[in-house]
Amino acid sequence: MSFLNGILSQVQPTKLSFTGDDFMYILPEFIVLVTACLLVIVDLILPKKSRGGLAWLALLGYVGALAAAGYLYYADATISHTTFSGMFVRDNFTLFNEIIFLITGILGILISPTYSLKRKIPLGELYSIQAFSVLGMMIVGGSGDLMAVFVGIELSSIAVYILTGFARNDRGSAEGALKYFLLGIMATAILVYGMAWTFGMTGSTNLREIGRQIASQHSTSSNMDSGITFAMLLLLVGFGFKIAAVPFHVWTPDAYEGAPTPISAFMSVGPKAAGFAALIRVMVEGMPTLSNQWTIIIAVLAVLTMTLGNVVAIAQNSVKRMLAYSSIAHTGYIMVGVAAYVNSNGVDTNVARQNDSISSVLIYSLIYVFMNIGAFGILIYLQNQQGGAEVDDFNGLARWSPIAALAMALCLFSLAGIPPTGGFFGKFFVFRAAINSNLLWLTIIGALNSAVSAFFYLRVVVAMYFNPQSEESKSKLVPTRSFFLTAALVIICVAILVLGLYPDPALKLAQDGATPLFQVVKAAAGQP
Amino acid sequence: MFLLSTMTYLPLLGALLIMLLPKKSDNLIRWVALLTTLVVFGLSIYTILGFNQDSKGYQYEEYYKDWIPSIGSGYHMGVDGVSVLMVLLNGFLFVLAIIASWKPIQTRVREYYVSMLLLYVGLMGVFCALDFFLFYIFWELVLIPMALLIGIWGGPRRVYAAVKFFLYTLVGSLLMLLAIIALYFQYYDLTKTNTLDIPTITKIAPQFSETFQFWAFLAFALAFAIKVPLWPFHTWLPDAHTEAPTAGSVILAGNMLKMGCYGFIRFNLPLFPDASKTLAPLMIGLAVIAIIYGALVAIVQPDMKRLVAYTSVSHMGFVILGLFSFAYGLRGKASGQTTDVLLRDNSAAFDGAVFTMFSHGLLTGGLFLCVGVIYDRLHTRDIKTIQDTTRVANRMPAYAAIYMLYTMGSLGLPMISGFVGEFLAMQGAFRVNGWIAFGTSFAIILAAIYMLWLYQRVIWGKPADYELATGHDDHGHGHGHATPAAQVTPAPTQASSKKADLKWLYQSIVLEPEDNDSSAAASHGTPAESHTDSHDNDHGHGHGGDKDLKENGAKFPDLNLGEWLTLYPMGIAAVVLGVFPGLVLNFLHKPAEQITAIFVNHADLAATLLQQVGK
Amino acid sequence: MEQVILVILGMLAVGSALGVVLMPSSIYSALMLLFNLISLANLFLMLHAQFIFAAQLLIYAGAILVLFLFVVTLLNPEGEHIFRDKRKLQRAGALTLGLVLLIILAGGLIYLITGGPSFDFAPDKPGAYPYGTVEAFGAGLFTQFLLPFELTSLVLLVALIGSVVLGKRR
Repeated sequence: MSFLNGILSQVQPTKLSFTGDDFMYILPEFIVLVTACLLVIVDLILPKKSRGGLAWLALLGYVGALAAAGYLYYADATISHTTFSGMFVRDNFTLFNEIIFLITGILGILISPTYSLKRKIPLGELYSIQAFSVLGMMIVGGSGDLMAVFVGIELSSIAVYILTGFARNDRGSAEGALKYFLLGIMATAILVYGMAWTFGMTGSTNLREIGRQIASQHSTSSNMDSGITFAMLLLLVGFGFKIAAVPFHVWTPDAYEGAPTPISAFMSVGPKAAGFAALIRVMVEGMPTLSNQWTIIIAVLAVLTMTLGNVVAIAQNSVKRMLAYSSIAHTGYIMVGVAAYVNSNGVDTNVARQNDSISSVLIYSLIYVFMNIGAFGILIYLQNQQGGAEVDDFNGLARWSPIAALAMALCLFSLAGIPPTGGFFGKFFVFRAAINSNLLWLTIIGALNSAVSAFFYLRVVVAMYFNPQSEESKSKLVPTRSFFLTAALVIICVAILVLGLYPDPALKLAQDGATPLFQVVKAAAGQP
Repeated sequence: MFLLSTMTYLPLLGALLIMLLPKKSDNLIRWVALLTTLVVFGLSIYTILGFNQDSKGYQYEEYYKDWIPSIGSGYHMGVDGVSVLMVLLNGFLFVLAIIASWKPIQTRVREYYVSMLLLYVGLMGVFCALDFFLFYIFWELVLIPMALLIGIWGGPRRVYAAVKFFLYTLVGSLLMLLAIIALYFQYYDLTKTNTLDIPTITKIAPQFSETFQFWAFLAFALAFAIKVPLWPFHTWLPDAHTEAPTAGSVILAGNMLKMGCYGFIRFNLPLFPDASKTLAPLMIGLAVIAIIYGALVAIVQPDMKRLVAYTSVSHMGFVILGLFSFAYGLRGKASGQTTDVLLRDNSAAFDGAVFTMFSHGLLTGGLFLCVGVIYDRLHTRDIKTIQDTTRVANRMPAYAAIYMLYTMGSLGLPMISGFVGEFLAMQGAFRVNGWIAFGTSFAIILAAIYMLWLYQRVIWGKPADYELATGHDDHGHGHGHATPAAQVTPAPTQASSKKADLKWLYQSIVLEPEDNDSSAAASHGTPAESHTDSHDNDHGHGHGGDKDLKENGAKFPDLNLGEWLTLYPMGIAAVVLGVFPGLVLNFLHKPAEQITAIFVNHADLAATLLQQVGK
Repeated sequence: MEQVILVILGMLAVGSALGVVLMPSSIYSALMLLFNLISLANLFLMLHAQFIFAAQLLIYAGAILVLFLFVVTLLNPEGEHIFRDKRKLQRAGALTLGLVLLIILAGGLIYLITGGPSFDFAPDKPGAYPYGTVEAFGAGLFTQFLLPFELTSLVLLVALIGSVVLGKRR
């Protein structure tokens, strides 16, 4: 017990530096928070007919937050400022993640209205809870402390559990929500346990402090070694659940399939990216000296994740379920990028190589947001028109809606990683990082996997372009127009092409985003 | 200035324009497509006329370094002697392809021409790009429109063929992508700079270790071998060709197969000279197998188009044979030969390979057009059916004449372009090993067999004028079953003829006449469509075509204007090249010299360049 | 001695947690949960965290579990009318008071942001409060762990909205 007391004595309340400036650093988060609260209130006040305006309010909030984040970047492009006693870090990694999450939020709002109105899903609460979820993710992205990671993840996860069950009249929705919830809280428990072990071993919840402690104690104490390894494993399992890595993926297909489609779109990108942000924050900032161990675990998991996701996706007839498995596969590709962080002798000086690894994760996540929400968006379009989500429902889409078919083809080719789309560039960059880290075997598996994935994406393209529309589906066709959905798809298609043909600005931003992590890592190792 | 970019993106502009045209303006769409391709063809002629054959390196270069500086990729276009020929071939064949699809394509015209023009963008880009990233984008861009062309406007098994084509090529490309990235880091390790610029990397690449060269060579070679296609990676080709629409086949054979050969010339030989020397025997071996195998399999094909597709496998084998005989011949630095001597001795193989690429585009493209003409009249490509139907020569003399030209060209008659390429390639192979040349020379004999026999059956077919086909039901239409012995004597029995008569009577009464497109599809017995007219399960293949013949038989016109405009210019081009091969060969001296220089001097060259980069 | 109690309490906690899952009746499950929470509270006491011990007992064992029992025993699927309150006067009053609160809070925040006094919640010297006491806990909550603490309120808010939305109307 004396050991424990010794550590606990270090945890004393520190002086809070709390000025108006600190609020400036969380301005984007604050704007989202205000938006989320306003949405609930305005929803109560507004008459039912004019609730379409809620979408505009939510969009305004997200765009405002994006502008605020942009302003902070504009004011100081190399900002690295901790605030709230080290809980929140305002740096470029935070910024890039905020961009990912806010775009997810914006697209999530845009694709929802028509679908939700048809299924009598309450829009005000939907937008509001989604905004809370985005807020949680933003906190995760900017967290400098295990406590913030945990609360952020919980805020976003609980919101998404609720969103999954939003289609109350649908049994699948309830089932998916329950599965997601039960497995999610189990993952949370494991995560908390891992955090407790980390705290116990290092005496701090602050990520930078953890990094310093591990670096200084790593060589001296063997007790530390096994304990921190155990903590690392627990954390990996917890994050594995959040990003839906095999074998922690079992909730994914049911939750994605059961949830209302706009929510599936949202939860297939947002929480996943947040999981990766948390993984990177904790592992890279907190445990860089152990990277030899966790990267190999992630590499192995990446192989399992890619392979299982792609192979099982082939057998799916429901496009929604297929996209669920495809999202598992994409988790695998992103994990290849994380695995490329590996360094062989503690903290090495080859920061450029590791920067490539982290920035590949960031850029891939950003591209993935667009292409996956795009694919789901067309699915929503199709469900609005005729209700079905099977591959056969896509038959002849190119005939009766050539533009939608073109957009879907673009998203699918991007998911398959075929140029000149953003998906290709993302994969290129991830594989590049991995090859640079001597993980050629991993990239070969990744490349074969993307060939396999082309097969099932192609199935949908084949259905859209080569198969005739069935009479049954013709009879079910109810033309519906949605301004928001169209806007979302236009944004997505433009973004996919721009990220494929002129990715440089986004890439620069991602590289900037990865930089602050290494300053932390170097500081922990006592390097200048 | 920007000539290459203009040529590359002009079709994109055309495609956008076509997308914006109002509905039901099919003819306008066709004219826009034709005009676009004509302009690009004009530009490609302008390019080749202004091309300086005696200057080393790339011409018409466009280079903007700051495309994606973070990964060292710039926008770099340029052509050398080999690629400028391919650009010209592109320009020429696309004009013909657009004309050739004027009549046959009547459904979803807008999408068709958009796909066609997008394909054009990709093909132009592949031959002009001098940056790996850019190259890879164009390389993959080709896939999608081609798959669409096969999958939407193709034959009965079109979807299968399209998917097979797509996946096959994608697997190869992905491994190539990994090899490109590996190459990129090898370059980085040597020079500490990031670049994906092809000429820059080519200067240093020979310096890489032999092991790296070996594996990277294999990765690149797999991608290109699938595209060429080289035995044993050829199985997608017959399916794709058979199912593709005529113009699609022309482009596939004429331009897309050249992408693989071009890849070998642009990447494998100059980037990995050591591995090229080491692996040359392997590649030569595969090429010889491809040549003989393609020819043998072609003989027994019952489907005209499939037969021509297999001749492609055989002819493309000559290209690879030539290229790697060239590489093999350049081993000899040890024996103290100078670059000039090596070049004099070996350039024949290289010339032959590239010349075959060019002439194969014309001749095989022409053959596919000829198949298209027959298919247009009879709605079948089954040789037996055609043979039993009529004597084409009597009804279509102009067609028979030009078809004769292509046949002769394809089997390697002197004075037509096919001869020059194969002769040179075999001459190169002879320097490697006489037996290889001896073995491959049999392919020429086989070529004579399959081409002439095909010609005999298709053109001279039935002695009498048009009458009902007889007895073809007895001569198995299963692909590959028909043996030469069975087909040489088509002596239908009276009984089967009667039976067939009754069936047609039944069909012509019971079945309603269909329009050409749908009945064409029906004649090949897709599971969904053919059950109405294939009451006898034993022979679902041929009789559908005869039904159409019954309806359309009276109309059996000779070439129409569009066909004249496609078949004859192509034939004339083939003859001109056969008589004046120098027109093409002159472009090849400098590229061959450069590759030779790399092989001979690569160690010294790279070392000096490395010093320069260091400064 | 401490070790022994620790192990016993730990076993009790694990055993009762198993009981929660395995008991056939939900009432028994709830009672097992009570048992579990009490063992946990004692574990906190062992760790010198008196405040959490008290909070655990009061909030979980006291309030939440009683609520659980109520819900389990009295669960009435047709209890929807609670959410429909039509009295206009009350609504207007609530709205006014809410707005006043909002203005006060917003005013305070704006005052803070635009450079009001910088607060100093920290104790005069480190280690002033013994570990685990209410003072130390409170100071921790409002200094170092302010952000997670505030965010936790959002988690509860989301859960609240979610349960209303999911529970409302069927």
